[in-house]
Amino acid sequence: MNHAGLFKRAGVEEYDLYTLKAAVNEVQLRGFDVEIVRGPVESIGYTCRALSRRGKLTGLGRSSCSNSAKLEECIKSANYLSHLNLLETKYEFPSAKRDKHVKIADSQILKGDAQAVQTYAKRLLSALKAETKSKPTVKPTFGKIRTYVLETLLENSSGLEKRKTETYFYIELALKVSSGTKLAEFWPRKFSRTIEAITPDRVLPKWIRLAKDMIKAKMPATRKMTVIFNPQSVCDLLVPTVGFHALGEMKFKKQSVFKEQDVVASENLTIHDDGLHDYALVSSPFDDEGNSQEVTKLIEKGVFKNYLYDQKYALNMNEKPTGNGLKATGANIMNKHGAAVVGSPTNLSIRPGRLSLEKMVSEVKNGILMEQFSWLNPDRMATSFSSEIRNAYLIKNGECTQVLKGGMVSGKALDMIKNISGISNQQFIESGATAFSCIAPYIRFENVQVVGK
Amino acid sequence: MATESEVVFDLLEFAGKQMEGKVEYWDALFDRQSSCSISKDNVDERIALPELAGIQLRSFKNGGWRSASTYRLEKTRLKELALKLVRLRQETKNRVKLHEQKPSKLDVVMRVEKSPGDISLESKVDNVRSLHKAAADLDKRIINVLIQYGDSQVERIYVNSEGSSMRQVVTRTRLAMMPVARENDKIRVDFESLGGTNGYEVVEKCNFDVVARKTVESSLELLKAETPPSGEFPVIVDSHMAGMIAHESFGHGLEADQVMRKRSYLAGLLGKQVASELTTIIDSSKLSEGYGSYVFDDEGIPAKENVLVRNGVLERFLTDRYSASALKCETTASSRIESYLTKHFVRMSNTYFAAGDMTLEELVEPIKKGVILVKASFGMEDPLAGGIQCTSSKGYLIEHGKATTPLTEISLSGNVLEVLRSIDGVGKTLKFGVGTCGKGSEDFVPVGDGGPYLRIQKAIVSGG
Repeated sequence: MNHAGLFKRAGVEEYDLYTLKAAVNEVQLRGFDVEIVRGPVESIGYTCRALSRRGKLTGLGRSSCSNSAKLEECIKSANYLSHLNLLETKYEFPSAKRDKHVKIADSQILKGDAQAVQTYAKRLLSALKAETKSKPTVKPTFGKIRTYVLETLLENSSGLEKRKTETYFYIELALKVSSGTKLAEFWPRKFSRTIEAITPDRVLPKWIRLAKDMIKAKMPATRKMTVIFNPQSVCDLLVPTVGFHALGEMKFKKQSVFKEQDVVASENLTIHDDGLHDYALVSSPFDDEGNSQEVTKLIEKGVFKNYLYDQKYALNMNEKPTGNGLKATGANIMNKHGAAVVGSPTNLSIRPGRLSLEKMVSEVKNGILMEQFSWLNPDRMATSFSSEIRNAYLIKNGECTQVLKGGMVSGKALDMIKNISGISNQQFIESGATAFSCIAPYIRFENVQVVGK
Repeated sequence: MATESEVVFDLLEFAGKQMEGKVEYWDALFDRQSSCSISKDNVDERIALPELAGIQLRSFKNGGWRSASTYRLEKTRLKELALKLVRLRQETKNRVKLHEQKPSKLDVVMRVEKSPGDISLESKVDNVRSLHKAAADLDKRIINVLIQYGDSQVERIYVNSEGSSMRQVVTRTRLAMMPVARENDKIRVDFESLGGTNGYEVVEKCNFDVVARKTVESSLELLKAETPPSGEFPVIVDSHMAGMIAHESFGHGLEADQVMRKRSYLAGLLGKQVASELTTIIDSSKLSEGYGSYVFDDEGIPAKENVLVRNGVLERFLTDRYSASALKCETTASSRIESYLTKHFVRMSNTYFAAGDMTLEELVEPIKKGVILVKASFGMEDPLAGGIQCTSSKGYLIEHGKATTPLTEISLSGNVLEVLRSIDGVGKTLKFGVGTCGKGSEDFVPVGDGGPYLRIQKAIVSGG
C-alpha cells in the first residue's frame, strides 16, 4: 500500500505512520494442568501523527485504527486534531540516519508457532513435578508462558522508513509451599527477549529455594538498617525516579531536581541509558519516532552528566535527540502503537561494582536482603516509596538468618542513591513490576527505614 | 442492507458453527473500543482518537479451554482459527463439565445523559483548557498542571453454543487533574479524579473553579506535609482507601479462579466470620454510574449485585462459568477481559463497603495518636496470604481526637483479615471512586470502588 499517497490525498504534508503487527502464543497453567492454550492472538495497529503549522505554532494530532481500510479516515482525524492543538512549540519529524545494530529477536520465538510455549510448559511442569516429593512441598498454583513476535514499520514525511522485528518471552509463576497448616508463596514475573534467558534450569532452582524458605517467614522489627536491593527491585526503584529526573522534558518543565555536574549520588554509582544493549528489553536500533537509539551517560561516579531527549524536547531546548522518544510498553506490548510518544529512558544500565553478593552480605551487621516487594511503585517526582516486603532475608552479623515477609521498606530514591555502600559485580537484564527494563546489579543502601511489628 | 451489528453477529455465528458438535462449549466475542483522550499540561497538549477492534473465539473440551483472537474480521480467517481450536488436543485431569446457563438475548446501549460522541472535539479541548487555566495561575508554587480527559465506548457482541446472542455498548468518561507544586527541591502532587459509566455530563457538571482551587490547595498542603510516623497505630481510612482495601486486599482473594488454583486465603472460610460485624462488602456490576458497571459479563451472564460479606460473614466468591461449575454455585457475572486480545479472568466490578452510622468527628474523637489515610494511590493483591499493600497519596496525623498535621503518602501493611476484624467504626457517607484494576500486573479493566470512612483499631503504616 502506498501510504504516502494516502497522506497526500488528505492534504497532510508532514506526518509519520507507526504500524505494529503482533502475534502471541500462550499457555496458562492451573496447578499442574494446562488451563488454556491461547493462540494465535494476532493484532495490527496503525497510528498516524499529522503535523500542522501556522506561523510559529505547531500542532500534532494522533489517531489510531486496527484496520487498513480505515487508515484514510484515521489520517483525516489526525490532521483535524493537529489543527486543534496549535502551540508555541517546535516539532519536525526526524530524517533517516544510519542506526547501529542490536540483537532484539530470538530465532526460536520467530518461528511464530505455539510449539515454543508448549515445549517450555512441558519442561517446566516436569521439573516442578520432581519437586513435589521434597519437603516442604512446592507446587505451582498458576502460571503464564507467552511469546511475542512484533513487527514494526515506521515511515514519515522526511523520507524515513525503518523496520524491525523483535521478540519477547514472558513467564509468570506462582509457587505455593505448604508445611502442615502453614502456606507461603513466591510469585515471580519476568520478561526477556529470548527463551534461553529464562529456561526452567536457569530460574527454577532459585525460585524453588525462595518459595521453600518463605514458609518460615516473619515480619521484621521497626528500625533503620542496611538494605540490599536485588536487581529487580533496583529496576523498580531507579528507573521511574532517576529516569524521570533525567528527562530533558522535566528540566524544561522545571520538574527535575538534577542539574548537570551536580553531585547527586554516591561516588560508586554510574548509570548509563543504554538503548543498544543486546537483548535488553527496550533495546532497538531506533526509537518510536525514528531517531537512532544510543548510549547516554546519566550519572558518572555520582555526578549527573546528561539529560535524555526525545525529538520534541531536543528541538525546543536546542539539543540533539538521544533516541528516547518512546511509546509506553509495560503490559500492553500488543497495543503500544496507540500510545503517545513521550520522553522515557530505554534501559538504565547500572555499572557493576567489585563485590560479590556474598561479600556484600557478609559485610552487613544488621540488614535485609530484598528479593521481592509486593509492588515497589515510587512517586516519580518526590521519589518516595513505602512498599510491603513479600520475600526477603534478615541479615545478622554477615549472614542471612531469618526469612521475612510483611512489614515495609520506606525511603526516597534520590536520598538513597547518596547512601550506597556497595554494588555487586554482576549485572542482570531485568524487568520490574513498575519499570519495564533495567540492566542492574544488587545495590546496598545504608540507613533505610524498615517498618514492622 | 444489514447493519454493522448484524454483520458482526453473522460472523460470530459463522465462526461458532465451525466448532458446533466438535467441542463441549464455544463462544465468540467481538470487541470494539473507541476512545478520545486529551491531556494538557503547561507545555504539552495531546489529543488522540485510539480504536481497536477484533474477535476472540473460545472453545471448551475435556476440562480445558482454547482461544484465538484476530483483528481480521473475515470468514476465511475465522474459519481457520475455529478449526484450529477444534483440532488442538488438550486434556486436563480436572474434568469439570460446564453447567448450562439460560441463554440470553439482549441489545442494550447503556444510557448516559450526554453522549460524548455528540460533543465536538473543539468543545472538549476548550473545556480541558479552561480547567487547566482555572488551576494554573492560582499560586506561583504550582509549576505545572496536568489535566487528563478520556471518554470511551466499548461495544461487545457475544454469541455462544447455548444460544445466547447479546450486544452491549458501555460509555465511560473520566476527568482528572494533577497540580504539581514545588518549593526548592521539594516537589509534590495531588490529584482529583471524576468519572463513571457516564457521558459528557461528568465535565459539564464539574465546577472547574471549585475543583481547581481544592486540588491546588491540596497539592500546596503537601509541600508542608511531614513524613508519617512508622509503626502500629489506630488508623482511619477515607472512602477511596476503604474501596482499595475492599478491592485490592480483600476482593482479589474472593476471585474463584484463585480458589480453583488453591491460591486463596479465603478458601474454606465461606460462612465464617472474616470481618467485624460492622462490615458489609458488596461487588455490583449493576451499580448505577459505577465505573466498573456493565450490562453483561464477557461470558454473556447478565450483571448482578453480589453481597460478598454480610455483617462480617463471608457469603460468596466471585465466579465465572468454569469456577461456578466446579464449585457448584451460581455464576456472579464476573468474567471479564481487557480486550479481544486477552484472556477471560474472574474480576471485580464495583466493590465497596456499605455505609454505617458514624460521622468523621465521632470516628476521630477517641484516638489519642493515629493517622488518617486519604486518597488512594495504588495497591497490590496477595491472594494466597492476605497481605496488604495499599498506599494513599496523603494523610493527617490524629492527636487527641483531632486531625492535625498533614502527612505525605502513607502505606498500609499487615494482614487483611486482622484489619477487617479490627474495624470498630463505620462512617455514614458512602462515596465511590474510579480506577483501573490489573490481575497481577496485567489485564487491566475499569473498576469502581468505595465506601465510607472506616476506623481500624490497629494497623501498620509507614511513609516514604
